[in-house]
Amino acid sequence: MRDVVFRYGDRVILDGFDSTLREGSLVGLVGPSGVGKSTLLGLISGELRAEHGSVCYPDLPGGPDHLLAASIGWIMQTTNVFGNRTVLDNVLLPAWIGGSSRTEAAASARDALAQVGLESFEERRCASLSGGERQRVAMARALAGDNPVVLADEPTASLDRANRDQLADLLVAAAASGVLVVVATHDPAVAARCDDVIEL
Amino acid sequence: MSEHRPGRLGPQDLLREGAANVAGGRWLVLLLGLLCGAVGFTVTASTTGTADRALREGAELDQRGRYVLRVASGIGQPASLDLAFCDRLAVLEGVEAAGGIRRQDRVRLATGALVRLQEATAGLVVMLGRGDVTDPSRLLVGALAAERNGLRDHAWVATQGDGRRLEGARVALIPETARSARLDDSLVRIVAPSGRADECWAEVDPARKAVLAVTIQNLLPDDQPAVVVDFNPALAEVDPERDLREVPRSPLILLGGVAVGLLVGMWWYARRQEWVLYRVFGLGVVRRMGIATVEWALVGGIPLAVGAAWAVILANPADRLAVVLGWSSAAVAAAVSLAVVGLWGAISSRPRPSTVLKGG
Repeated sequence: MRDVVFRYGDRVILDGFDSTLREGSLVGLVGPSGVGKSTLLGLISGELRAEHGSVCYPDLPGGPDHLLAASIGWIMQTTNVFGNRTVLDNVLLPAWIGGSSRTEAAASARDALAQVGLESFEERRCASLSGGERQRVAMARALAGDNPVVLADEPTASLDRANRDQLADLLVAAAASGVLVVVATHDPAVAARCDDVIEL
Repeated sequence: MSEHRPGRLGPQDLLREGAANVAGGRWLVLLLGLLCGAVGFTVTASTTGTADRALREGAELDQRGRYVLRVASGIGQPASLDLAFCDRLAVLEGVEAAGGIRRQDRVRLATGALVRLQEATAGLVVMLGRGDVTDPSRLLVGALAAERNGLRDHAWVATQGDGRRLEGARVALIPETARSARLDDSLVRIVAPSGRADECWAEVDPARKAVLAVTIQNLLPDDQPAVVVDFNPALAEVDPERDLREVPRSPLILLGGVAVGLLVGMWWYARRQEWVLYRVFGLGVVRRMGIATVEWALVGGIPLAVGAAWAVILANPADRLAVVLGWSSAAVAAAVSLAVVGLWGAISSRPRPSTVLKGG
């Protein structure tokens, strides 16, 4: 990201922001509410466009236009899942929509569920899961399909300490496997686990 | 690093996805489906019922002589008309039948009961629905008079007038219609068209009703105080054709469509973050619309159609046009509901995904 400028109306959110995010790293975005953490995630994902400057993805085919849909796993604070659908359906959905066959997507989803310890939850409806379990489902969904980038926006905000630590472990493991993980967080415990921290 | 491949979801996939979303909704979907079905039932029952009633009324009114003009003596001026004049009205273009009637003194039956007697020409008897009775020896009997005195069709009845002369006649019952209502408690004797008349009746072509009312008024001699009035002013207020024309414009159709749209919209709104997730996962607008259409059909469209079918079956309309109008109203309501949910979908897809997913 080079010299990125972004504003909502007259309010400047980012002014000449520079940073290089590398694959295989866990990057934390910290700072008070409203400072621009989510905005930065939006710029990285391609959901938002910088008014000035550039966001480059040298290793990604298709560039930012395809990034949001194809190559990013998202984990949000809440309302992350299809509550009426099964855990397996939730996890396989992005890969299936992306063009994998349902069988391929399901196989990938099962692998990801095993990584987050939810392999026995396949047929459970997400509405019946706890908040921590739902975030692990979202994590599995982000990991399924070998996404090169995982963006997490306050993923531990509504979790208790045990679930927070478990999710942080999963984020660290994902980064260790070569994925660029960018997490916006207020939680010092999560920030402490990051390889790089960008303070906004 | 995975390479992006464009989505390949076909119609079957979208059908499966929409059905899976709906199936997961369980009780909420069942409740919304029942409500949409109730809306479909109400809209269709209302329109089918109204159309059926209008069609029945139209047929009934045609049968009852909605288009009979009555030429009546002025108030306080009885018997100022002439039976011959009444019968001559039949020669006017657009007049299908004409005749006259006059009141007579009461007669006594063999049982001792006193009954009102009227005399009418054959043309008027035709308008009473007994054109088959031409023999002057028959005595037409109104329904109420027949019931009160135990008189049946073809029975013999003896009457005694003021002259104390007994007369025998075979009964011919007058069908109960609006035309015959004023003769319900009377006996009616068929007479030749001569002498005074209290009223002339003229059955006219509906299209020429207004013109003939003026024509007949102009034909009345100046010295005969009479007026042309509708056969039954109350019936003149009934307009089945107008009611039929109003069926497709019933506000209930629009309201029903909006209601179904809002009910399906509730289902979508409750899951608005899920629609955003589809966007985040890269599902294009056309395919999202495909899934949304499947959900609309399952939650709103099919229940609405089932409700409509039930309404049509229960209404069991006699005329096919009522069925067509009922189904058409349900179809219009469905289209309106689609427009409502489409509008809702367009509005709800405006916020940024991250805003909605953060609860915004």
